Amino acid sequence: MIKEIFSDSFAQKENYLTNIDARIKLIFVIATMVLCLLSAKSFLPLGIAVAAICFLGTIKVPFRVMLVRFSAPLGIALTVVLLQIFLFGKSPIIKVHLFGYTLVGYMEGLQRGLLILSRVTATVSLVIFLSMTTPLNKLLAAAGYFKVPATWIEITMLAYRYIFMLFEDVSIVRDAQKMRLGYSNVARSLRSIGELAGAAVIKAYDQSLAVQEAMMLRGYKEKVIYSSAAKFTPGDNVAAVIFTAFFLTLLIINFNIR
Amino acid sequence: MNNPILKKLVLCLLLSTLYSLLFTDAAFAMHISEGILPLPWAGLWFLVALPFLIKGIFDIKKRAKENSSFKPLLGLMAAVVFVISCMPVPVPTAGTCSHPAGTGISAILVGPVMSIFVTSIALFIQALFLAHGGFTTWGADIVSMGVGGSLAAYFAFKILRRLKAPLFFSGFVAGILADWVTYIITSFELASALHGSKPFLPLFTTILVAFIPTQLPLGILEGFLTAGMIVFVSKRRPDILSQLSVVSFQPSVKRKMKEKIKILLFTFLAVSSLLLAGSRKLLADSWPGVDVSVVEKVAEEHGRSAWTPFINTDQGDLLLFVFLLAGISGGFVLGYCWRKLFVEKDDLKHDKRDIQR
Repeated sequence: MIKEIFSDSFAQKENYLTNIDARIKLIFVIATMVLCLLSAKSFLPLGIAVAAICFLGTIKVPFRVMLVRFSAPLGIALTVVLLQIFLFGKSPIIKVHLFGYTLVGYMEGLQRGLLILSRVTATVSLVIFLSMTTPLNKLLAAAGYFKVPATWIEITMLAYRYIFMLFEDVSIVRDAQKMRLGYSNVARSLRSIGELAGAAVIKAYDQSLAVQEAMMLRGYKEKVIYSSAAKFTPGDNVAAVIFTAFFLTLLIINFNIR
Repeated sequence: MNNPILKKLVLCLLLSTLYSLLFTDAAFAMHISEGILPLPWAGLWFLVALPFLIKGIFDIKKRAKENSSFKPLLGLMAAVVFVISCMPVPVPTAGTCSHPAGTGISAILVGPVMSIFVTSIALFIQALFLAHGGFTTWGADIVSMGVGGSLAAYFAFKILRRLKAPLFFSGFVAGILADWVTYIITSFELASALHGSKPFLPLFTTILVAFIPTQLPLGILEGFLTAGMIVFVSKRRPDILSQLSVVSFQPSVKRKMKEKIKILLFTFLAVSSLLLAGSRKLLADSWPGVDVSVVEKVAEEHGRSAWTPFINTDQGDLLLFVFLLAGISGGFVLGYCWRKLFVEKDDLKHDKRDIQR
């Protein structure tokens, strides 16, 4: 499951969304995110979230995978909504008696909270849309095209490459610790988890030396050459026009509902 | 409470929040979620984080020229921070699992600026693939987790080490501070962005208090994690800590004294044996042995002079021949018993080690 959620396996598949140039998707996603944060009403971000989820549905991304990715940010967002309800506003809508205290919830707080919740839903669905339709190497190549420093891109690529390896190594050590009752009580758990982190650090250090040696043998000269941005295809141009039209419509709606 | 629909809505929200905080696998409260911060605040925190990232890039370029494995090391360190921040740690007081920040470890190992850089990468990958943190809150998360956590951990560790605190204690305090400072800054960021027209302090306090049930114990757990890591690495691979200039393994005064005594003893033995050998040769003629000076003299006085020996080893290569015979027979015996003496003994040692493990 973790690999399904975490890896870019969906982005590696061939479909009409993955075939669109990463630069177009990146600009569209960032511009739409900014629009979501600027929107004053909840329904525009919610509409964007629904559209993104529907697009992902057409390329058969399982709903449970999307739900798992949504669960963490929504948990935080719901907490923020509650804080907003009980801390802001003047028109009371609810009174909760808790341990002798009376908490008063307000209408204005609820509206503010729901707006934040809708923004979170929209921006998270946009990020899921981007990660499910664009492999990381293409995304980083697009970032390089927009002058993101090469050093940052290079180290991000290295990190992503070795995360899976480290995950496997750590899980092997963890399983071995479990087999030897390393988590049978609190004291042992604390010791085991420290050793697990230590094992990960040692593995990472050794691997970094091996990687450096391998890179030197392959002619590495202080700069990784990543796939340079290709020319835009006619399909990309069509996608760019559709995305621009979609974005302009959202922009007009946003200004009209203010 | 006038409107029953609104009442139901608020209660639903309350229950779903409690559900998400108490029953989901991990309380992902480490980062500010995507979309929570308004645009100006998101931009401001990004601008605060930017100088640290720029400094990081310059430092990496400089250090990569001196050490070509530095970039792969940072890549792997980012992977370590990512993996550690995905480790579920049970938080008994909240009844949930949470996860450590991991920035304490990276700050101790590669320094605060590199740790901030590494954290920015780990946060980017988490935002993209786990919806954990976000692009719009990337700057705020870098400031809280990277800048706050790394600087607190690094300086705590360095100060404590300078005060000769043990490695475990220094790591423990660094881990705790990395976690707690992250949460204090996160609360500050949330409160400053969301307080609206209300005063800042009550919201800041409320958020901080809301974090306490999970983050207070989690910080202590992170302390144990960081301390356990640093002690484990120092025991198993002290060369890593030396290479990364985390700890200089200088021998202690006691150890130094022991080594000095050993050297002196060895020198004394060597010099005295050399002197003995030299003096024996020098004095050989002027100081004959008891046999010559007493026994031989008395025997000669009584008319019984010494005979030449039946087997005179001073003649020809006889002595050498005897040594050769002794060497051949000794070599034969050693070869015959080799397996019993060395091979089986090693096997026994390995078996014992395996049993101990």
